[in-house]
Formats: sequence, structure tokens, C-alpha cells
Amino acid sequence: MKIESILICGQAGQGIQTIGYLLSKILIKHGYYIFAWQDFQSRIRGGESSFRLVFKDVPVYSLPSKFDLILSLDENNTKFYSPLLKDSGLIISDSENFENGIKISFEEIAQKISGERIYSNSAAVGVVCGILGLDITILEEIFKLQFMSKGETVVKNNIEIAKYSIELISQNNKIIKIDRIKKLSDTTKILFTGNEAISLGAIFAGCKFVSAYPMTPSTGIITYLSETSQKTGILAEQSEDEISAINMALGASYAGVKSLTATSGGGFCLMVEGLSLSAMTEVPIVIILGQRPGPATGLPTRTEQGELNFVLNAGHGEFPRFVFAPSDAETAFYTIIKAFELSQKYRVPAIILTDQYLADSYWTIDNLDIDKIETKNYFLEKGKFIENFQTYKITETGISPRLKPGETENLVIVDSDEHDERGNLTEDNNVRKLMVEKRWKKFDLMKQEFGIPKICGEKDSEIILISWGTNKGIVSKVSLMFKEVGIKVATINYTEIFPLKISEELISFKGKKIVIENNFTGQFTTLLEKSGLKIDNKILKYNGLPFSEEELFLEVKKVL
Amino acid sequence: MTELFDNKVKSAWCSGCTNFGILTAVKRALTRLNLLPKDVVLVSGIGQAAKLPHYLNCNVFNGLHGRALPVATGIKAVNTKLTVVTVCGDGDFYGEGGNHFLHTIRRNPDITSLVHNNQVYALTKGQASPTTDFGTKTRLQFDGVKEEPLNPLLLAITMNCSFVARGFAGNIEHLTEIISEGMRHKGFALIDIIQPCITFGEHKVSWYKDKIYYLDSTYDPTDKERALKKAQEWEQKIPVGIIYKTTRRYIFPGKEQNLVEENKVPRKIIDDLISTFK
Repeated sequence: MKIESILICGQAGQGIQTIGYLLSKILIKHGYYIFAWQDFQSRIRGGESSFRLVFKDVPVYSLPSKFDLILSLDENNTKFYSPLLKDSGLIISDSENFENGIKISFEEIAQKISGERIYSNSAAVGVVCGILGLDITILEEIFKLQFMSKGETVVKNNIEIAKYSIELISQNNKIIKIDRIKKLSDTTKILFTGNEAISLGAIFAGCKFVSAYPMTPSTGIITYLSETSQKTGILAEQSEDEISAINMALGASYAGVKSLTATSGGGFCLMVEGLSLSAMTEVPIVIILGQRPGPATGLPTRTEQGELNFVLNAGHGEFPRFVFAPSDAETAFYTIIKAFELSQKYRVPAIILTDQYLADSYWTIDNLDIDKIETKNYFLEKGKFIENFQTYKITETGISPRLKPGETENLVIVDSDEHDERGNLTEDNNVRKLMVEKRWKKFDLMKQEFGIPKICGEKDSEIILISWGTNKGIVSKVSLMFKEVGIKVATINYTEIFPLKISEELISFKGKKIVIENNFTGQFTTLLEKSGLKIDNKILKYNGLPFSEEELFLEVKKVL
Repeated sequence: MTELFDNKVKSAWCSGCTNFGILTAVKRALTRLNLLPKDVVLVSGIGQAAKLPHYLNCNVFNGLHGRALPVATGIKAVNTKLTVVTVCGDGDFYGEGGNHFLHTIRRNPDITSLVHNNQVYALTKGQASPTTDFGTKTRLQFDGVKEEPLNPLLLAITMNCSFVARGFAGNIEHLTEIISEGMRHKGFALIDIIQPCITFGEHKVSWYKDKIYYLDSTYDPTDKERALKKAQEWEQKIPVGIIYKTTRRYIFPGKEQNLVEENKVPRKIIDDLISTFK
């Protein structure tokens, strides 16, 4: 039997993330690609949570409905998650004995070997390594890296317990039929979460200031940027609320640095007046909105794509903006760099929609190709006095030259009121008209900045699955599943959402057009239809969980 | 005397407005500190007071109602070379911006905040503000204000705000001195300025003048107990001057920095960070 998917479950605080992370690192060192999504509750201890891990010899971005192996750390979780076990699957739990299960108490192992329960996670990692026949030297290498900072004794104890667990499980005859995992290659792949990827992108883009109020699922961004700030020189400030977060970031941006804030839907609600301020003052900002199910507090730790309409329309008054929705960690890295560039170039706000599925999941990529990325300086030359400098000079493109306050004798005047070219508030209706037109003039050029996504698969396919953001992976997987049964299914994914570009290729596509979204109303479908594309069907999921492979396959089959 | 900071932008204030006195004091203080317009950023919210930055020659961020402090904090955070001053009214600063007021005291950035306190929302034509006296009748509060007024100075001192002063718009020279001291102070300086509104104010300028007295050299602003008592005087006499002063760690310490000048994170650091994920 081949094991490719593992679900590790337990109470919040039991350490399932550590177990999952260590296994992921070990599997990657064997040459595999992993993808892992975390499903947890909004609580500190107890309850049901899982770390769902898939590994393959090719890049993987989606999850099956059922798992080959379940590893449970507590009785309640065993009951809760056992329906997700494949019929042929194996369940390891330290409580109940299943017919297709092995009873092991990780705590007992830890206690027996080290006298301390805290090592039980390493027992769990050891058991999985034993079942899969993973290379013990790789486990040692990963454990050393992970526990080094806690001292040699801790490293030694963890390794010893894992080794004991491997021995123990190897004697169990229920694992005889399980395929041993072969080491494929020596690799140094990157394993990171969506939040870590987007934070790295911000660092690369030259972001120097981040202010945010903690909110799931975006908290990881300011956390990472703060943890690494001594190396990068970024200033990370936790603000008293999201209103302060966006206003601080705008202050820093006005002063001349690339600035970022990150939040979720509720926090973005508080930022909306600040978004409008960014547009009026033409002070650029990048805002990351990690989507989770709403309205109001909704399901704080789950996933959804419910904020598209919100970000397209947020803010009082009319103004242009950019909206992005990266599909995975790798795209997130490149997307935020582009968001910073375009926001600086046009002096407009850029919003990046992520979601819990992207933010908290672990993604594997071969490497980041950063040599080809160009970042430009959109300020006027430093130290040079400009005759008749005006913050809002009306130009042919609508883009006014930009200066940093204090760098020259020129003054930088920005105003949330309607203002004249110098930046001083005005109530002159003629100036108002010119300024509205100036701000919108930029939009014509902004429309040309996005690439047109290409159709994957054959043009004469019976259907095309259209997705935006994080459903890219699952949609590609489902199209492969259809290929296996002889049905041609094309796919297309949008990560550059607004101003939206629809290709001739898609308009003239003959087959059925089906949009896949994680919301109730089909927000992207509406945007596509508004842009002139006729949609035949939409498949929507809004229970707070991402689509799984078999689930989406069956849903698509229904509308074939 | 203040030529460097004079400009020709036409004012939207009432003729004879006491804000003009504050404007003069700000220009004089900046001149006295030998600052250049390019080194100064005035940040404001919304209201008549918040228009002040437009009426002098310097860098300006006239933002949203209530949000001057976070904007100012962001500016100062990335460029400590700039002198950052906020200019707001009592509604803007203590009402809409109340949360930022509290947390800026905690954060203690090197920012000076001028609050034009006229105890009324004047631009919206005469509603009660957070500092309007109990019982004051307005068209909206027709049977009198039922909330106790906020005492911003007392609140600031209890939170150990590092510089707390009261100025009077009717005494430009004294106000100039207080503002200069506030700007010299390293840390967050709150200067609440009695600024009688000649159109919608409950009290005339003379009412304030009769009650005001100036703290002299016998008053020690570092004595917190005494400052707490002083800040509570209002009914009979109103003290004007530096009421409380203390030395506190101010935010971004040891980071006399200008992040504005640094463009990129070195490639080696990026590579190191990426390698931590391998």
C-alpha cells in the first residue's frame, strides 16, 4: 500500500503543527514536494484540529478528501477525524483500537525513554518515519536543526525517542504491506507558509515599514517581518487598532518608504477610510487582506474568498486601485513585489487578497528566481531642488513626480481635502474637476500593467474551470483527474484581479465555462460577467473549508 | 521675523479667530528653534484647527479626522530627522482620535501635539465636544451636556505622558515659549491650548483671561503629585504653563534613523533568509 497523505490530529496545544512540520521537512529532504493545510479552531487549548499533509514526487497544491494515514493524539480527535480515513488506510491512535489501526501511546514512549511527556511529539514523528521507512540520518539532521537552540540534551533525547519509536513500529505486522519511501534526490527545496512567502516578497520589494493589528490569518506577516527586522532593518510596529495601522503606514509612505499593512476582513473594514485617504493623497500603500469567512467575526480560523466585492468597492469616493489574489506561496512572493512596484509607480493603493488556505498552509517550491526581478525608484533624484515643484502636478499620465519631505528645499504637501496642484485644500469646482480627472487618468495606464492569463489544456476541451487566487491548485488537479477518465478539461486562473483583463482566447472558448469559488454569491463570476464574459455554471463552497479533490471532481461531473 | 514660514495661502478662518494667535506662535517657535521649512512636517486631522498647516510654509500631511497621531508616528518612525508636529482641535484629537491619544502616550514618540481646545465643534456649527463643560446648552444638546468633560491634561499625567502643558491662544509670546519647549522635549509633548471660539464658544476670551494664571518658576513640573492637583484646577482658576514633565524612553530609541535613505535589503540577507526555509 502506498501512503501519500497523512492527517495528524489532536487538541490545540498538543503540538500537531510541530509534528507535521518536522515530517514535512524530513519528506522534502527525501526529494518530495509536500503541501499541508492546517485546520484549527479559534481557541488556545483543546478542541479538534488537524495538519493535513500530502507528499508527491511532483509539486502538489491540493488535498484529497480522505487520507492514507491518520495519526491522532487524543480520543476525541480520533472519533472526529476517523471518517476521513480511506477504507484501505491506517490509523494510529493512542486510545481506541481500530480494526485497521495501531494503538500507540506517544506519551508513554516519551515517559519511558526520557521520563518527560514533552517529547511525545518526537515519538509521533518517529512512528510515521518507521511506517514509511524514512531515512533515520535525515531525521537526525532535521531534529538537530529544529532543537539546536534548546541544547544538546534536548536534541539527543528527541532523536533517541524517535529512534525507539521507529524500532517499535517496525515490529508491528500491520505495516508490512506499506510501501517503503525511497529517497528520490538530494534537494534543498524551500518549504514555507503563504504568510512567510509574502513577507519575504515584501522584504525583497524593499518594504521598510509595516504596521498591523494582530488578526487571523494575517498575523504571521508582521510576526515574520518583526522577527527578521534586525537583519532587514524593517520597522514593524503593532498598532492599537487597524485605523492606526493604515494611517501609520501612510505616514511612513509619505515620508518616503515602502509601507505595508496586513489584516483580515474585519480589520480592513476599519481601514477603509484610510484606503480612501491613500487614494486622495496619492500616498501609495500595499494592504494584505487575508480572507476568512464573515460577516462580522464569522469563522476566524477558516477559509473563504468572500472579500472580493468588498475590496473592489471599498472606500468612499471614486478612485482607481489594484487588486491581486495570489494562487499559492510562490505567486504570493512575486505578487507583492509587483504590488509594491505598481503602487509606487501610480501612487495608488494596492490590495492583495490572500486567505487562510494560502496564509497558513505549507508549500514546497524548488527555488525563488529573484535575479530577474527589477525594482525601480519612483522618486525624483535626491537632493536636487525642483523649480515650481508641486505634489499634485497635473501631467499627461496623471502621475505627478514624487519627492520625500526633508530631502530637498521643496515642500511636500498632501491633503485629504480636495486640493490644488501644490497640495493646499481648495473648494474651487474647476480645480476639483481637474483633480478627479487627474486621478482617473492613471487608470488607463494601470489597465495595461496586468498580463493576460493563459488557458491551460486543450482549446477544444468540453469545459473550462475558471478560478481566482488559491483555487488554482485544486482546479488543476481536478482537470488531471478528468484526463485520467478521458475527459478534456481546460483551466484558467486569475491572480491579477483588478483592473481585470479578459483574453480573446477565453471569450472565444467554445466549451462550458464554470467558475470555482469559495463564497456564496460567486463574486468573481459577477466581475467576469460585468466584463462581458458569459458564464455557464458556478461551483461554490462556503462552509469555511477548502475544496478537496474528489469533492470538486464530483461537483464538476454534475454540471458536465 | 518668521518670513521663512510665512506663506500666502488664503485662510478659511473667521476674521478675528484666535487660531491666528496660535499660527503666529507656531511660526515663531519654529523660527526660534532655527528650523527650516523642509525639516518640519505638520500633520493634522480635520476641523478649523487642522487647516493651520496650510497657512505656513512647511511640509504638510493634512489627513483624516482623528488620525493625525498615527500618521505623525509613521513619519517620525522612518525619519527621525524631521520635526513632526500635529495640529488638531479638541473634537479631532480627544473625540475621534481618543484611542490614538491614549496609545501615543504609551508609545511616547518624539512628536509635539498642539490641541486647539475651544470646547466646541465649531466647523459643524456648535455641538458639544469632549471638553465642553457639563450642562452647556447647544442646539443639539438642547437641555445641556450630560457627560462629564474630559480632562486631557489630568488623563495624560496619570499615564505618565512625558510633557504636558497648557497654553493660551491669547498670549502669543507665552505660547511660543511653551511650543518651543514642547518641540525641544524628547518624547511625546501634549500642549492643550485654550482657544476661545469667537463664533460658537460658550465663553468669551475675557472669561478665560479672568481665570487664567501663569505658572512661575516656583512651580516644579517634575513633581507628579503636584501636577495631578494642578491639572484638576479649572472652576476657579486655570493654570497655564508646563504642568508636567518627565524623562521617559521614547519609541525607536537608539534608532536615530532615516529608513528613507536605505533603499534595499542587501542580497546576501535575502539569500540568508531564503536559506532558513531550505
